[in-house]
Amino acid sequence: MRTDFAFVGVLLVAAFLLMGAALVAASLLRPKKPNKDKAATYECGMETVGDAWVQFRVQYYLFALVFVLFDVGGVLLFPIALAFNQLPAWTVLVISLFALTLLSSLLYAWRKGVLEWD
Amino acid sequence: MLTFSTVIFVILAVVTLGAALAVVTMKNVFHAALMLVLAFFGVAGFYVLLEANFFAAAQVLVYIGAISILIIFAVMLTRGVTMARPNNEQSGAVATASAVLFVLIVVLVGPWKINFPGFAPLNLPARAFGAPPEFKMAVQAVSPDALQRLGRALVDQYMVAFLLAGVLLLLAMIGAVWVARERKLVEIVKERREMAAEEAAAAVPPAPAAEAVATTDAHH
Amino acid sequence: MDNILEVLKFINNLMAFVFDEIGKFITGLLGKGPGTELVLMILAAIGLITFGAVTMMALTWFERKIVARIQDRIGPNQAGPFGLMLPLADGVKMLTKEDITPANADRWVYLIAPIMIAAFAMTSLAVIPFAPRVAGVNLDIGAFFYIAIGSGSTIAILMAGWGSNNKYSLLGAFRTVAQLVGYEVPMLLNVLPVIMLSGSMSLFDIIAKQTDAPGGFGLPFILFLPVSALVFLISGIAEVGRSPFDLMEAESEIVAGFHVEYSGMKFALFMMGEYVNAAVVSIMFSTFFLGGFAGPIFIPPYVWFLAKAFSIFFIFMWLRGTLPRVRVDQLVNLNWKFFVPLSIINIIVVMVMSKLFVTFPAQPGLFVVSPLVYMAIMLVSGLGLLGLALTLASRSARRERLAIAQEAAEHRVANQAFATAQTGK
Repeated sequence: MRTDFAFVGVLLVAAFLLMGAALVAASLLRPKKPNKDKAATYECGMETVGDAWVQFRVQYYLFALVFVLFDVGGVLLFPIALAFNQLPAWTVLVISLFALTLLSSLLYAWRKGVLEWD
Repeated sequence: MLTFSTVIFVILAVVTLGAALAVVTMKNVFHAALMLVLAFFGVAGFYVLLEANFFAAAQVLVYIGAISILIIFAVMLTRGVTMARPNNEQSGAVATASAVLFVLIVVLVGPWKINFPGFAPLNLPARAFGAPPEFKMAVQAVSPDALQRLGRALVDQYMVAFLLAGVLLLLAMIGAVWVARERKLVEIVKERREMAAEEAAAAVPPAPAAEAVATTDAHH
Repeated sequence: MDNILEVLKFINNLMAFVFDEIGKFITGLLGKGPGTELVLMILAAIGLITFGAVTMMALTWFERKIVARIQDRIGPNQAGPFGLMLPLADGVKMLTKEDITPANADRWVYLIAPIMIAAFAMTSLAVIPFAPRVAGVNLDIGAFFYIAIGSGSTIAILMAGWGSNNKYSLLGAFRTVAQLVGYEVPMLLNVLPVIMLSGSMSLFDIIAKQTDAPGGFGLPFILFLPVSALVFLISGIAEVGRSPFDLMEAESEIVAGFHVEYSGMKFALFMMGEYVNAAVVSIMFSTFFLGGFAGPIFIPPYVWFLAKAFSIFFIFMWLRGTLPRVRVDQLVNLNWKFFVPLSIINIIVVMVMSKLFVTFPAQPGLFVVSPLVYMAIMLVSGLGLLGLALTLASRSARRERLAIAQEAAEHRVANQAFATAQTGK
C-alpha cells in the first residue's frame, strides 16, 4: 500500500519538476523586453485605480461553507458505501436518515435565501 | 536504524513543522494561509505512512479542498488585507511561544523513548505516576478490509454518533445562516460605529484610553 | 479458430506485455532492489506525463476541428495537412511568447500557481486503468483518490487570482472557485452509488464488476444508474470549466478570469491543466459508467479505453459547439437547488432498491433476482426519479416564468397609466 503512494508521490514530484522545466525552457527561448506599460495590470485598457482589493461579498464564503458541510457528509458516507453490500437491510434506514439530515440542511439554507447569488 | 520510512518520516516532519511555524510567523497573511496548506499536505503524508490511505485522501479532500479555501476567504475578509502589505504584527512573540511550547511538550510529556543516541527525555509523568504500559511504535499491518469494517461500524456500533454527526452538520448550517443573516441597515451602521470606536480606543495611547473606554461604555 | 483466439489474446495483452518486458530489462540491468523500483517508478511517471501532454495536444486539435465542423466551418488546415501540426505550432508559440509579469505581482505565488494546476492534473492520471493489468497504480481507494486530487487544484486557482495583483483576476478566481467547489458535491455524491454497486473503490474492481468476471454484472453501470451518470457527466463538465459552464475563461465575461495576467508558457500550463482534467473526467466517466477498457475481445482493451473516453470527450465538444453559455446565477442554482437534492435522493433510492432486490444470494436483501432483472429495476427506478425531478423542476420554472411575465405585464400597465397621465396633463 505504501509503495502505491510512493508512486503517487514520485508522479507528483516528477510533474512539478517537469512543468518547472518547461517554464525554464520557455524562459530561455523567449524575448525579454520589460516595459512599464506592458507590466501594468490589466483593467480593460484603462489605468488602474487603487490597490487590488475587491469588496469581498459574503456569498463566496457561504458557498464554501455549504461545500465544507457536504464534503464532510460525503466523506462519512464513503466507507458506508464501501461496506454496503454486506450491511443488513435495516441499515438503509439509518443511512437514509443521515442523507435526509443533509438534505434538510440544504433545504433550510435554500429557504433562508443563503443560496442566492446576488 | 535508518530505513526508508524513517527518512520519509523525517522529511515529512520537517516540512510539516516548518510550514506550521511559518503559518504563525510569516508577515504576509496570505502566504501564511498557503503555508497552512503545505502543513495539511504534510499531515496527509503522515496518514500515508500509517497506511491509512483513505484518510490521507480525505485529508486532502476536506482540509485542502474545502477548509483551506474557507480560511483563505476568511483572510480576505479581514479588513486591511491588501495585496502585498504585510500585516502580521505578532510574529516574533508567536514564534517564540510556539517554539517553547513545542520543546516543552517533547521534553516533558513524551512517554516513549526517542532513539537518538545520548538523548533521554525527562519523562516526568512516568516518574510521577509510574511507568506507562509498553507502547509498540511499530506500524501494525492494516487489514485489507479495515475500511469496510469502519463502514459497518458506523451504522452498527456507532449509529448514534453517525446520526449525531449529521445533526451537527445541520446545526453548522443553521449557524452559518444565522451569522449571514440580513440585518437592517440601522443595525449594521451601529455595529460598524462600535467597531470603529473600539479601534480608536485601542490606537490611542493608554492615558486618554480610560476616557475613551468610558465613553464607549456609555454608548452601550 | 483457436489460433485466431491466441493471436487476439496476444494483441490484447500487448500493452501489459511491453511494460512487463521493459520492467524486466531494467531489472536485469540494475539488479533487484528499491533503487530499481524507484527507476521504474520514475519511468512510469514520465510515461504518464507524456501521455498527458500528448493527450492534450491531440485533444486541442480534435476540439478545434470538431467544434469548427459543428459551426459549419473547416477549422485549422494551414499548419500541416489537415492542421495536424497545429498542436506543435501551439507549443512553439507558447514557448516563445514573452512572459509579461504584472507589476507588484506576488512573485512566488504567481509562479507556482500554474505549475500546481498542471501537476495536480497530471497526478490524477496515476490511477486510470488503461488495460487489464496496466495502470500507474491500482490504488484501493482509486475513485476517492481521483475526487480528492480534483479538489486540490482549487487552491491553485486562488493563488493565481491573488498572485496577479489584479482586481478582475481575483474576482474571476472567486467565481471560479465558487463554481468548482459547488459542482464538486454532486460529483462526490454520485460516485457513491457506483461504489455501492461494485463494493470497492478500486477502479479495476469497478470495471471488473461491469464485466462477465465472477461476481460481475456483465452490464455497464450506466444502465443501473442513469441519474448518477447524467449528473456526474454534467458536474464533470462544470468542474473542468468547459462550455456551457465556461464562465472562468469566457472572453466576453471577466476577460479570461483568473488567468488574465498570464502569458506564454504559464498560460500553456493552465491550458494543459484544463485539457488533462477534461480528459480525466471523460476517462473516469467511462470507467465508472461505461466499463472502461472492458469490451468484446476482437478489439484490444486499450483501444476500447481510448474509444470510450474519446466518445465522452466528443460529447463535451458537441455541447461546447451547440449550447450558449450559462449565467452565473443559473449555474449556482442548477447545482445547489437541482443536482444536490437529486443526488441525495438518488442515493436513497439506489440503497432501497439494492436492499430490496439483490443479485448474489450472499448479500443480505429481500428478493434474489438475476442481474438482468436487477438492472431493469434500477433503470426503471432511476428514470422514474429523473422524470419526477424534471417535472418538478419544469413546473417550478413555469411558475417563475409566469410570475415574471405577470410582473412585466403589471409594469407595462403602470407605465401606460403613467404615460397617459403625463400626456393628459
